[in-house]
Amino acid sequence: MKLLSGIVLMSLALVFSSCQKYPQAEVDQANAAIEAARVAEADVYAADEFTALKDSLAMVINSVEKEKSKLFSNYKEELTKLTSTVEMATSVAEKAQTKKVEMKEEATAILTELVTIIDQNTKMIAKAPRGKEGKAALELIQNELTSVQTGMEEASAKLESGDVFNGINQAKAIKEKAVSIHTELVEVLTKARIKLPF
Amino acid sequence: MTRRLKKKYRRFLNLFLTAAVLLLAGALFLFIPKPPDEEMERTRVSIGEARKLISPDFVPPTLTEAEILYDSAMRIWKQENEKFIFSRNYKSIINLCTTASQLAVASPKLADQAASSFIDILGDDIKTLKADTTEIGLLYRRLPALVEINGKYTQGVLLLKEAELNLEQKKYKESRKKLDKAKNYVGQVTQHVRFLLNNYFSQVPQWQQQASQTIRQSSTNQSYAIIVDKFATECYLYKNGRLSKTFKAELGKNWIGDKQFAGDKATPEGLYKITRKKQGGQTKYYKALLLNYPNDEDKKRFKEAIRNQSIPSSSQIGGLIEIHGGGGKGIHWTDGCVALENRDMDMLYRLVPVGCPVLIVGSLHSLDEVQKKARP
Repeated sequence: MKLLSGIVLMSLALVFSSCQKYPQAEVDQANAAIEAARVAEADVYAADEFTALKDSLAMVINSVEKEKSKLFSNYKEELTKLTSTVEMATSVAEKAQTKKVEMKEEATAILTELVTIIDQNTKMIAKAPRGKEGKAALELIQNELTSVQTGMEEASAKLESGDVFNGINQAKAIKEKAVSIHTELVEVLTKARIKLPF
Repeated sequence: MTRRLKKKYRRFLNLFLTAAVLLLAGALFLFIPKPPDEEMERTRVSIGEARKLISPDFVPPTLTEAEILYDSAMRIWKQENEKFIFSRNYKSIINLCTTASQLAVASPKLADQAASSFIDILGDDIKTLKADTTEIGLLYRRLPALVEINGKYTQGVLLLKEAELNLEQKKYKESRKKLDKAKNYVGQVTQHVRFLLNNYFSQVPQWQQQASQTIRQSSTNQSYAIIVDKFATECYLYKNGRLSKTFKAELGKNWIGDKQFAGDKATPEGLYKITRKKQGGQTKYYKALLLNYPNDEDKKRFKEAIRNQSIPSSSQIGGLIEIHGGGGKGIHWTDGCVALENRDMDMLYRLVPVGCPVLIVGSLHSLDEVQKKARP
């Protein structure tokens, strides 16, 4: 009887010592890290990495549940994977932020360049044949320039509000138009034998 | 003896019970249900692969359903894991996984079908609108200032560029949205310009006939004749019925259409003749050839316009329409005269006499010909 009791007790001890606690806190932490990455717009600025991250967590959760299904659960490996997922989420969030900052810087550089182009365009309009000589043509160019300026303000507002993706596209489109106006004005002034004012 | 037997019996019983417990424990292991980890993992991989292959713009309902089924399976698995180990049942999870996997595997093909036609149409539409925008731009930039439609044209051009950028970035739905807006703006401009040009070019046969007559007369009379093509912005000098010189011409800023009244900045259309040659202090535009505007036809049309109230009753018919120097600015800037570069004016002034016929027409070529010529 003593041997039997010993075996039973040993088995119970083994069962209790082998059954680890479900890593709920770590799972929650990983989920929170992924949500933080989403808030950091990783789904927009690091879309592929964000998809891989979500898939990675799904894989770990599978593994956790697999362990939980066993009589003797051991989450040691899963805990390591969950920690890696949190690190990965932080890295993806950082990458998204870096990408966003880079894009914002690029857009800001375009807008800065646009300020110079628009300034030169304005100076050229002031120098272009005035009055009866080409007032109408200049009205058109001025009108286009106004649209460009309005667009520039819109792009700037988008950047400020954090919509960098659409902001940079708008800035690029505006730059192309502003450059074409610039070329046209240089041509008009050159034809009219007027010295370029910059 | 009895004590020894009892001890043996007890030892045997102990061994028997231990073996029985161990056997029972072993047997119980066999009854533990197999977890659905393989099925879950297979489904996760299928969904992950499908997600990688499918653009977020074209996720088919099948993939969304697969994801919902996978989430349900995971929820049930968690619920089952909370139960006593021997009473867990994973059958429904396996069924959900099987369906989810099938849906996920089928999704890329479905998405591909939807995406390829969408992207093809989008790409074609962008190309078409780009060509239309360039063509209408080339035409409309030659027309007098149309400030009211200019803003729309610029908006259209900017949105079209954004649609192109979105297409490059594989943001197809966003690209379509921008393209549709651009189409709307460019469409309004096209409609306006087409209406204007169709009206303008409807008189081409009449202008061509007038030009033929003028050239014939130049040939018959062995004399000079001038023809000004307003749309081509060119001034042709004919000698004895043959084209002798071509000069670039600049016109009144509202050059499209016939002159209606004084101050409308339009260059008149019709057959005129040179009534006076001016130079030195007689003109501020280097040298000038004064035309007999208004001619009889102009006067008749003006009276009719006053009568029809299509122009204000206080309007004057105007005059002092000339071919003069001071041109070469690259824009239409006169009050209705035809301006040539001074060196061209020198030549024309020297060659043509007072009385030389001057035909001013809207265009010598049809709109189709003009458009073909304008295409890059």
